[in-house]
Amino acid sequence: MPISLAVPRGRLFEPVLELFAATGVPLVPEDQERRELVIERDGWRFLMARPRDVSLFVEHGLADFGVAGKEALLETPRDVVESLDLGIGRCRLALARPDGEPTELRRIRRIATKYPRLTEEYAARTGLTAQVLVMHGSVESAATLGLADAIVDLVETGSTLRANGLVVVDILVESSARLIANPVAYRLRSREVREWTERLRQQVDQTRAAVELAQERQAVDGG
Amino acid sequence: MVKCGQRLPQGFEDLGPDRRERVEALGTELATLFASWGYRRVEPPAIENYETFAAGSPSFSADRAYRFLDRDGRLLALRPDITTGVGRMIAQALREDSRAVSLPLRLRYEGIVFRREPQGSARSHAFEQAGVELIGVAGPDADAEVIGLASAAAHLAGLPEVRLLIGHSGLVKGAMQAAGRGSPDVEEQFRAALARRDLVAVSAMIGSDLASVLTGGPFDPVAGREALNRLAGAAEAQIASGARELLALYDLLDEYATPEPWLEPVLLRDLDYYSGVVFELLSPAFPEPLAGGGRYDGLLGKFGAGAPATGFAVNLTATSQAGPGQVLRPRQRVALAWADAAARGQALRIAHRLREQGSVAETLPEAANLTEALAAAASRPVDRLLFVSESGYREIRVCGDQPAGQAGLAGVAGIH
Repeated sequence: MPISLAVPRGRLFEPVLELFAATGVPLVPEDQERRELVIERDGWRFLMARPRDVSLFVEHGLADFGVAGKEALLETPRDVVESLDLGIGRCRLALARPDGEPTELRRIRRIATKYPRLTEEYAARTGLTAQVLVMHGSVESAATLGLADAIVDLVETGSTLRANGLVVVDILVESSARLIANPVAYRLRSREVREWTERLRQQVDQTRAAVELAQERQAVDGG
Repeated sequence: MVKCGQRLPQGFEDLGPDRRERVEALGTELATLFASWGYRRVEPPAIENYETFAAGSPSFSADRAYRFLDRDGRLLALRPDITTGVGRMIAQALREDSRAVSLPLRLRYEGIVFRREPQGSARSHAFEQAGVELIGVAGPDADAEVIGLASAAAHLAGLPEVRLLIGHSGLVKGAMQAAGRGSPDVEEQFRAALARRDLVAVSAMIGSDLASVLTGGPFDPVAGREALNRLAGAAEAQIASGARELLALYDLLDEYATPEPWLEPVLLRDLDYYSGVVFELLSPAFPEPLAGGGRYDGLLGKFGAGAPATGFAVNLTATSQAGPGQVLRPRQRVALAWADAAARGQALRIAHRLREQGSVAETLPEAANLTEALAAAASRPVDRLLFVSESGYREIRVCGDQPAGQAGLAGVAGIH
């Protein structure tokens, strides 16, 4: 039986490809552009999916494994096993406001976001009484155009925020990509699957160690 | 615009005759199996006080139960599971007159449970469960009996490579304490991480030795025994005693004819009341457990009369659709039509006789002649057509789309 993986298109695809290629998964760059939903190659089966749908496919057993951002897993909880932090696709789900506004959170009346559940949880936790406005794209515009006085959105480098005159005032979630699995498939995983996930774990550990070493050197050089 | 009354609410579905007959067929097979092991049917009501479910499984009930008020403003719930109702029922009987109840009790049930699902989930909020409870016996023999019976039940679904996963709530509770180091908040965070199957967070919260055992499963029968031997010497008392109970159970399972046990240390069932051995039966051909359950020694005590107990349930609605399925006992299925009013009495007498003999006899009063009768019969789940006229009858084999014995659809396209 092929090992089936739900692969996210978009920002996670390239880092996933690089990591998977290092562990022997025959995914190629062209796969993202292909129109087929399902690609079969050398005993592997790839289900190309929009990032927020990966966990749905895995929950219902259409794919045994998949890659999903932690923020997506928290926003839309599904019955999947979160088995490994892949250390790629690092980003933050952040609350941001136009630069120069008073930073007192209680003054926020309306927050625009693609993550209503996490935003509502955050509001409840911090005592905000703000209304949550659900959007599907360019959330920053809601703040710059005055539709909302703050946004909750994913921040990778912060350049989009800066370009729109927004500054981060709080972090809701520190996110990275996770390897997820269907609970039954995970518990029945064959020796091949165990060996692959072990290679993946080692690869992730090596990468992390290399990054930490580089950071240390930089610190030493800088000091 | 379709009116509200013309459609179903989110999370609920119709079962047409094809699917319903599969549910019924598996349910009948399971009832016969359970009865042959001495389990007798009980029926707690579908609605109980919400407090009953909350006493048994507080966080599960808060998340998943459908709640509503009765006329006097009391909070009721549609049952999200049946075990709690059975436990309440037996505790009540024990309280009223414990001498009238001779333990152990072997009980079985079948019925619909209702569970809310998160928004955006495609799962059904209602499904039919069949299960058993063995009340009044502690110890590995009772656990092994229930797992043996569950294995026999899982095999009835007809799926390949059924695997038994086994765990113990003591392993999970001990790990929670180890993670919490005295802080109930951290313990709760750990429990929540386990419940959402977040092994990344679980590993980060406990020492790497414990983490590799807890999250490295399931372990095959040999590796599982080794892991249990290690855990039996663990510093956390609940982990050590849980591991020792599992080792005792391992020695019995073979004799109770279960599949080989695979140890899954973090096997955490949805419901909160489990207190000991827990298990699930899985097949690679189906994305949900075929059967699952475990020991719940504390549940009856919540209702005022304690007794050890263990049991399991099968999700009939899902499991019956999974495999080749049990087909209802194949019976001869006959359609009857008549040439004119004069032949009707004779046709109905034949239909009556066929039914008495155990066949299915369906009449086609709308068919005006043999051609129409043939066309009508071809679209129905029948093997033969009897066309009755005053002079006698013609018997014609029907080779419609529906093979004999398979449940077909009687003229209602699109419902399965």
